[in-house]
Amino acid sequence: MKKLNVAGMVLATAFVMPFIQSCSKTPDTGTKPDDTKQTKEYAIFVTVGNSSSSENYYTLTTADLMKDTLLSPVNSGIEPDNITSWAYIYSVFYQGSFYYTQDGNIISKQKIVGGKYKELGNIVASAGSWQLGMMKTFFNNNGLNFLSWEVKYNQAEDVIEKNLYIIDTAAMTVKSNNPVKFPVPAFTIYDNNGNPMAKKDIPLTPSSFSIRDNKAFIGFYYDWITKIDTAYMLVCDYPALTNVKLLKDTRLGHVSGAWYASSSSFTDENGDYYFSTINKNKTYGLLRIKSGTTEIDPGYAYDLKEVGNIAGAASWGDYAGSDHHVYIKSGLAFMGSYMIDVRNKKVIKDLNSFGLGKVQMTMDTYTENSNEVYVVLKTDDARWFVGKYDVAANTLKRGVEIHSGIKGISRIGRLR
Amino acid sequence: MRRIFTLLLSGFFLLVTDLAMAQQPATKKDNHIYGEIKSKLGEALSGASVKISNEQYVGAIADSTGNYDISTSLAGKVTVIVSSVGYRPQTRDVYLKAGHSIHIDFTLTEDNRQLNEVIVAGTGNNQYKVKQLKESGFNVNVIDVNEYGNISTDINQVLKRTTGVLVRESGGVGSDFTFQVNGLAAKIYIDDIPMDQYGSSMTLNNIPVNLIDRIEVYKGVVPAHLGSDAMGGAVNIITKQKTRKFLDASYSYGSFNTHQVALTGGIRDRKTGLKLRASTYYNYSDNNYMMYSDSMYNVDLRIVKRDEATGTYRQVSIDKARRFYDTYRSAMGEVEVGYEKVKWADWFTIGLTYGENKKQHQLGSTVNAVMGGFWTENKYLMPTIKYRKDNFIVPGLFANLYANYSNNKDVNRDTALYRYDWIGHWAANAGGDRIPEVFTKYFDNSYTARANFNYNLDKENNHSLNLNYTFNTTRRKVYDEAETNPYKKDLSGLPSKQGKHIIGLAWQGQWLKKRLISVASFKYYGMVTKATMDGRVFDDFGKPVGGEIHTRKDFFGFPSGSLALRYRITPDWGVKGSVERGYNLPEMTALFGNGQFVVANLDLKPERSDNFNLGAYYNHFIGEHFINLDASAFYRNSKDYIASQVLSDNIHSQSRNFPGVTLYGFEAEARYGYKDMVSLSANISYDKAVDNWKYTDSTNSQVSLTYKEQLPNRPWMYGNANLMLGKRDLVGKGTRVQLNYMYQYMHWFYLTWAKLGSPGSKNFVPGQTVHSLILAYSWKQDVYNISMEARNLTDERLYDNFRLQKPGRAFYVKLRVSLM
Repeated sequence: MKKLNVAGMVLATAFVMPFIQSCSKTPDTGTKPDDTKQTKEYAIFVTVGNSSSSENYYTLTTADLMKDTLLSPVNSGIEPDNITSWAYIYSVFYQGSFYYTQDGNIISKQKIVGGKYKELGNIVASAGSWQLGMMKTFFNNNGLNFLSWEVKYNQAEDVIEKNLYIIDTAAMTVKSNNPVKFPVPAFTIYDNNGNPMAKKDIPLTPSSFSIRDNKAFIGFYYDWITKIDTAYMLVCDYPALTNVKLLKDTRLGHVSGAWYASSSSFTDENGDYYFSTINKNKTYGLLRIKSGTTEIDPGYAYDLKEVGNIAGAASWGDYAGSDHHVYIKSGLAFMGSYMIDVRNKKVIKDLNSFGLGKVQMTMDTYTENSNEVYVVLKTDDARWFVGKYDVAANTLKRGVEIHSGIKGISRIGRLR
Repeated sequence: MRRIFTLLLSGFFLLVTDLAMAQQPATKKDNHIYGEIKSKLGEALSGASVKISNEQYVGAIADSTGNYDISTSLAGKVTVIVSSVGYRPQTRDVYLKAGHSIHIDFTLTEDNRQLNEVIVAGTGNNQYKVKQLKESGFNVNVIDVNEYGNISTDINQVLKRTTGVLVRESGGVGSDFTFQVNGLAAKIYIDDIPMDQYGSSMTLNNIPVNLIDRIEVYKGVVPAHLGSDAMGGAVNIITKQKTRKFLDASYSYGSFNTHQVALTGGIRDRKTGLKLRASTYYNYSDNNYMMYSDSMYNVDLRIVKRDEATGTYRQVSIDKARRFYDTYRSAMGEVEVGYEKVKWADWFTIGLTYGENKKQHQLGSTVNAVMGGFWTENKYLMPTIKYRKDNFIVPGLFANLYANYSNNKDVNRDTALYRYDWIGHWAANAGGDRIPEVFTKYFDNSYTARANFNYNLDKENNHSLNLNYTFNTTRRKVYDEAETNPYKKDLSGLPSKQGKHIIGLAWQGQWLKKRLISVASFKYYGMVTKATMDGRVFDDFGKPVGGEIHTRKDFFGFPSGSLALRYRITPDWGVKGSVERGYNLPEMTALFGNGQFVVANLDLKPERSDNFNLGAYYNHFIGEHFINLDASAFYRNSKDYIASQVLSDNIHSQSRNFPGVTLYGFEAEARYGYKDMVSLSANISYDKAVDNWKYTDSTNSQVSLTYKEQLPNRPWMYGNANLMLGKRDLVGKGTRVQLNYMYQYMHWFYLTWAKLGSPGSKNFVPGQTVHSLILAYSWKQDVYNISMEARNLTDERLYDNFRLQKPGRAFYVKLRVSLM
């Protein structure tokens, strides 16, 4: 009898296996209410992990950025649908919607609905070669404007072409995709091994992008990391992209800024266009194109050497200035951790001086009412906070805390 | 060994019989039963025993020509029983008349039943080795592949049914796969030779089971004779080898236009020892199975459609799509000529292996990265020489020498020039602009030499020393045939080189009346890599105008050691344990890429791991019932853990070193058998890999949220169960009907970090269960076999990788002739 019992136990064990399936096809989502399903006011985009193993992205939502609470991606936060790092870099967040590039040839518009990202529309490119890879972006009445990743050397005209796409974001259609024609550099571009590049191999990195008065302004440098201490600014008609004019300025180094969505230029209430530069000593500067003109203002050059390398805290890339600069009001702009009066060339406040944590570089800087600037603060003991700087009151306050142990915060944005 | 054993057994039997008969009173023996005993291949079975049932003293032993003659005084109906080591016993009823003789010939079938049956029957050479290995100091699973002879399958499908082995496939026949033992990338060998010497035509996903005798899956410490950088585990595939004539031929056909032909056989001249062995196989499949969108798992198949109103191309969802560009074919031929069991060699053969395959690639790394013109091709040629000799030069020294040269050519070509969607239309470049053509050629020339010496230190063979040296060097040249600039085409052929030297010394000892077995070993690993870099400068016309070609060289050298112990507590119970520091040297593909989806990483370092294994086993007979229980646990602390990571383009991957990963887990298996009528087994494996990268940045100020968390995107619990019911002579003499039910289970796992993200938004690979049924019918003592298989009977959606669906329900029929 004992013998049969042993055999029976083995048999039973084997036959239990098939029944495990009934409760294990999908993870148990638990009975805890999922508060991410409620549409909140704000989103904070955090990165966790490390790039050599597995880096993932989570969108934390909150009704109030200034609430004294802890937000954590642990069992919370919306996980994007199969988005990897490039999707965050090749992306832009605007008025509650995400626009990002898939496979270099698809632009997808997504929104958070019911605690998940939902696609609202997409566009597929008519050809390959990363045509719909988004570099610098700019929103205006026409919709989403972006410079394509694709670069071509036009031998017939001896120019380097990069298409400017204009996307109707409501209908998700391509309104136009004409090439911007950049002159071939007169000087030699060298590759990483110190070898001269052929014209067809020259990369072109747009660093600042704005559209004003039917003119497009594109700060750029040849190659990925420029070694030329000259700022190049291309001006052309918009949207025709004709009448190309190349502006140069040698006073404060080359243009700064990375190729992706973050902005290193801004336009004030007067229509004056400011763009940042960085020199070989890695200190910043500001140049200006006054309203109604297409020349760099020879009477304006603001050397920001007193604030040093304001992109030193950069988390996003190592290009020629991975900064994000934003205009607030009345000549005040936020650059790095500094509030700067750009018209009067004066540093108003270093937000780090409040002692509430060091301001972290983000892809976007969220502002409200042309007065409140929301920043990401990280303390010496590695605690993360959202901070609100009140420009008028010149005060900085801590808001929600983000769980320590994340890798970074890329954006703060408004969902509604 | 087997022959000696046969003769000894026969001699013993004869002696006992004769002695016994001598004690009987003399009786008149007028009746004779005589004849010949042969194998199915016609070989005389010298030493086979013949006896009459219930007659203790009536019997005979077949002579050297296989003839026997029984004299008996019995008359009337008697039952004659014939048996021989390694063959299934046979019984035959005969009617004896007084003063008459009866002529009966017997043809015996080789016994390839399972371990438990064999122990019951006490026969079976392969099963003897299985048992021997299981009770050695190593933690090893041994799979008798003969059990799978009537199934239309490849080695991957067999391996994934054993504990601790994880195979992740991206599609159907010939698809890309990853293979791990206890969470680490294990080295694979064919007859002790590293499989990376063979081309991609001979990999786990295309070798038919019918060419294979058994598979040894080592976990933890690996035997010294597998003289490679196997760390934490290895798989050794043993092909069918017989000292006599044998033949196994099979053909199967099934769903998705899948064909599989396998043929292996050999002959040996007894007098001269001259032998010839040949094997071949051919696989073909359209792999055109249906893919489905599945909202439950967020799988969304898409096609590109032109929006007529706006002229915009868009991706839209579809319910299902049939794979349309995924055919695969592979073929291999191998011949070995030489001598076996002659005075000057136990084994000496010269062999030649040729293989080729051609594979279409339907998908990149994601489900909508559809391709319609990318194919790869591989051809390889490998001459080999093998020599084995016991008492080599001095008594007690066993030498096992091996060398090969392999020439391997890979072609990667994308002739489509367009991207596709799921209905086979141009997608991303629907407007008509072509994408650049891909046409690269990879040439690998490789040499391997291995010398293995084993010396017995005492007459009882309780202690032995084993010295192993393996040298391997591979030189790779790559050509970009799509490059129109002749200067650049030339530069693309720059060579890369990798050389490995591994020397190992092992001491095996048996203690406490062989209750304790120990294997202590020391290894030294050396690896040299050389990559040629092009620093030349080209003008706008592609002409070189300066610079030079230079080379980058790296060398890695590491010592390591291991200890494996087995202690037999009782004849049934035993415990095993091992500890090791090992190194895993990067493969050529990981270092230099493969021109397909793997990108080179010249900075890749060898992976180091401290491995600990502990296990116990229990084998027990209760009459004709057999029970086997195996359980083990492991712990691995890995530094510079090598793992493949999908790159940001979602198409390519690259092997990278992870700073620190800890792996741990356990596995258990239970088996029950009753004669050869019932076999039931079930196993479960659980393994976890934990991120040991503590800080989020170089300042070491912030502990990462993922520190000590389970690495995402890897299965961590999986199991199998098998039930076999068989009956001999059910529908006629010499027939067998067998029904197998096979079950596979994989627990769901997250694509990203488990504890992060709201549960409702998380991406995961779903839990899966696969049910398969196989009905086999054999006749003429298993010479002829036909089987029908229904795989994935419930048409479960199967994914090993995120959203990359594997084939659904499939049916196969297989015909096999086995003269073993």
